[in-house]
Amino acid sequence: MNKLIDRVFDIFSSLRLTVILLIIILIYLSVSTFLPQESSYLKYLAENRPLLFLLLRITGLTNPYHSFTVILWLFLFTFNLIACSLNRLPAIVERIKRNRSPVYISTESMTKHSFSPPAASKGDITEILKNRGYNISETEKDGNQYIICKKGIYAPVSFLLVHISVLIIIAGITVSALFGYEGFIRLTEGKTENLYYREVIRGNYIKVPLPFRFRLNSFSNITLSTGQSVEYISDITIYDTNNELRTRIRVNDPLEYKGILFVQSSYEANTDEAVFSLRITDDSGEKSENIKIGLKDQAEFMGKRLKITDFFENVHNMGEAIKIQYGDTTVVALKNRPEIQNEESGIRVYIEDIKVPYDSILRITYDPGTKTVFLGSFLLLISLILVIFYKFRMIAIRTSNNLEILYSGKRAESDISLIASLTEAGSKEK
Amino acid sequence: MISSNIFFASFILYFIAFFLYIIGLSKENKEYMQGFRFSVIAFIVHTAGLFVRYYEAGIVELKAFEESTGHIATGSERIRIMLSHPPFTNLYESMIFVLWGIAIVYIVINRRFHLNITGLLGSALIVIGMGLSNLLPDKSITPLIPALKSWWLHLHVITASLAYGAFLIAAVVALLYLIRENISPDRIFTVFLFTTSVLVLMMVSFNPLQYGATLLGVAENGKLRPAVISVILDNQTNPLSIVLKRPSPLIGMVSLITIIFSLAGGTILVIKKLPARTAGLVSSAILLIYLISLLLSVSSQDIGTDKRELADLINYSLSSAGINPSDITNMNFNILPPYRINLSSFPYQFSIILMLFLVSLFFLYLTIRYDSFINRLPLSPVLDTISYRTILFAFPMMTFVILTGAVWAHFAWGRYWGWDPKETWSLITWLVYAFYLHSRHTLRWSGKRAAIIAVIGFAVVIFTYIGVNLGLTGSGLHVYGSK
Repeated sequence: MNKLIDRVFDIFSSLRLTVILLIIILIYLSVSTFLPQESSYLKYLAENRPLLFLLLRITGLTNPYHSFTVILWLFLFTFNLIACSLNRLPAIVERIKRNRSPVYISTESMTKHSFSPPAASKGDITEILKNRGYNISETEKDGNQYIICKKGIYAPVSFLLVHISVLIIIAGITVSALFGYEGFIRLTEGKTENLYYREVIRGNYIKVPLPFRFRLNSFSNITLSTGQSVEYISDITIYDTNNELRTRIRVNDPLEYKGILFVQSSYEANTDEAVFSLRITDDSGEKSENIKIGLKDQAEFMGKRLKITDFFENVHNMGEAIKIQYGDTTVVALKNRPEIQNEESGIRVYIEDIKVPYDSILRITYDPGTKTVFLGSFLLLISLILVIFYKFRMIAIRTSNNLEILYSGKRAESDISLIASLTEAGSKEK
Repeated sequence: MISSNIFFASFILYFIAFFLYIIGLSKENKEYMQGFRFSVIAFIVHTAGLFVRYYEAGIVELKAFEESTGHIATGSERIRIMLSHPPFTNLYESMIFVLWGIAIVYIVINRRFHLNITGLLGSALIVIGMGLSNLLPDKSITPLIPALKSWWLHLHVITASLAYGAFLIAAVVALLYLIRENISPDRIFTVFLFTTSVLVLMMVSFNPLQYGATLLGVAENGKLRPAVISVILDNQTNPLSIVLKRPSPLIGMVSLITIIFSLAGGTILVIKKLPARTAGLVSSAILLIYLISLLLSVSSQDIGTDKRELADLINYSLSSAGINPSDITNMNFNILPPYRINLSSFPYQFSIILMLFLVSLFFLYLTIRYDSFINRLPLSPVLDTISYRTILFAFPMMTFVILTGAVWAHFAWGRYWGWDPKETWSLITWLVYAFYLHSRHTLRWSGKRAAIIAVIGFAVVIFTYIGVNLGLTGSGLHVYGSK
């Protein structure tokens, strides 16, 4: 039984498995970006290509981020990562023990430095190295007396830390996938809403109530004269059981309330509810009337029926326009350019004001894993920087006869050149 | 725009540096530093240009603020607005900024390892890149769209261009390693010819006869701006901007011929064991013909005045953007016809071809003066170490890029990761380099294998940077400027 466990562990902790899994995952990731990313593989079935459908269904290529197969690969990868880290653990502990031991020295693997300091400078050198954070100890090996200076004793931990942080990220992602949900809420200006659309399967939504109510006081789309939007702002009020909160949500400036994140996603002009203030005159301009009318509503002017059939937000870069059915003729009126109009209709339409209520669409995410993922990523970054800069280095000074310096690691080299320059300067002074 | 002129000045300085490096090639003295000095000057001018552009963008942002709110910003708010628009928010600026990252890395490596050859190749790349960015149709500064108004943008892009620059230089050094290790230029050249074919294929969107689309521009006050239509789809409110394109069967045909010749050339090279010199000559000649025919086929012509032609044009542009005309509820022309095509109509095609042309010239040079070139390179273990250490520094930076991207996505879109093509490809890049580092540490792969991974890794980086924006993958949220 133990043997079986050992063998399974061996398989899971093998680098070959890592490489195979990595290649599979890379293929999945890259191929999936070229395929249409919807749950639309059903269309292949409709197109009478059942084989392709089955292939995509089993491999989950069109929807890899929600497919069982891919989750399986990722789980295997995680186990592999854990097993590999566990496998390395004893070696890391061993190396730290060795680094900590004040008597450990391996002269064979160390380089002899060309700089040989004067015998009197022994105290100076240890002082300098002590100030630079080295641990100093003394020992004897093969009949020679050595002063051992070490730094970065716990450096091997940083490798472990890198992999632990990757595991923390994966844990966070798992929490996100298991307990998180996404959806959107649609708010109409001036109305209160507590139902939102929650995504159940990709692209499919159900209507669910929130534990509190939302009111959209106003939505503003701030634009420049060129028509470019510079800001979308939803001014909202939240009504909770015994709490009322008024706040604004903007792009890149979301609201987090009771762990749920609300992000300004998009907006829609609710043209069906638009109200137009028009001033209508006859050709000569003698008879004039002001009317307020909604889209598809009817009014009367000079005995003929008048109806707004269409509303355009921007026509050929000349701004808002409406299409009016007046008797048998059609009039297109531009808000900013009233002079361009159909002359045969016998009337002139001036648009004084257009009030279009907006619907603001907020994206809703509840994702309890986010903080864990960010923590893991931050830790990953720190430990990667540690891997580069926090390295074990050792300088050994043989004190028998002449002083001789042995070292290991590139960084120790720079410390030694510093000592060389300092002691040379010191000896010149003397 | 003053900044564009400063960038042009730095372009000339890089060019001078490039020439000095070439002169340095023929000198035996390893301490030759003129190219390096001019690179530093060019880099300082380049940096100054970026600051000026930052300032200019700040002014644009300030004006937009005053127009939209109606009051004048003062004090700390003024400073906040001035700093809010960094100089890397459209394709033109992004290219200039990535080149800046490349410049830092090559200058540091040139200085630290006395490696003039990275200076030579680095400055050559920057000269090409700057020349190409100058061809891009849209160089103007417009106020930031709401989605880009985030401080995370600054951190995200600055580290990204440094990381990309480092990956590039690491790949260049790895290539030098491969050359140094006596892998015959013939073999590298064959690989190059095959890569050419793939790149050209990519460029014509894997459909050479129909595509090879050219972007259309419109002349305004003597300057060319991209011709754009904005469409609103059913069940959506935000208008989509679509740059007008025209199918160019001629370019498609010539591309196809180039591909066939490159493939044939590569195959003959393998079978007949022809010297790379002959093949280099043939292939650079083909590429030159291609360049000329591209130039001829776009000698300024106006199109789109005819209604049917215009309708065809719009249909084609919509279908290549993946939009079904029946879904459209509203369509606007931001700029009215006639539209015009010229050189800047296909910056990508042009840049790839130009790059290939120069690379084939380099191989030509390499085969003629192979020995003297090899002798001037540092020893191969040195090249190996340089490549490795550059990647070691770039890897945490890439991690930081993904981390800041995730935090930003959390605030902007409500989720830290959404499998957007750019996100996915940055993860792929990260995994490839993670594999590089692991294979070095645990499998003890170094030298040839490591160099090959470094080169492949950079191909992935290129795809992440440009391929996704070219629309080779599904549409994503990072597509800016190019579509």
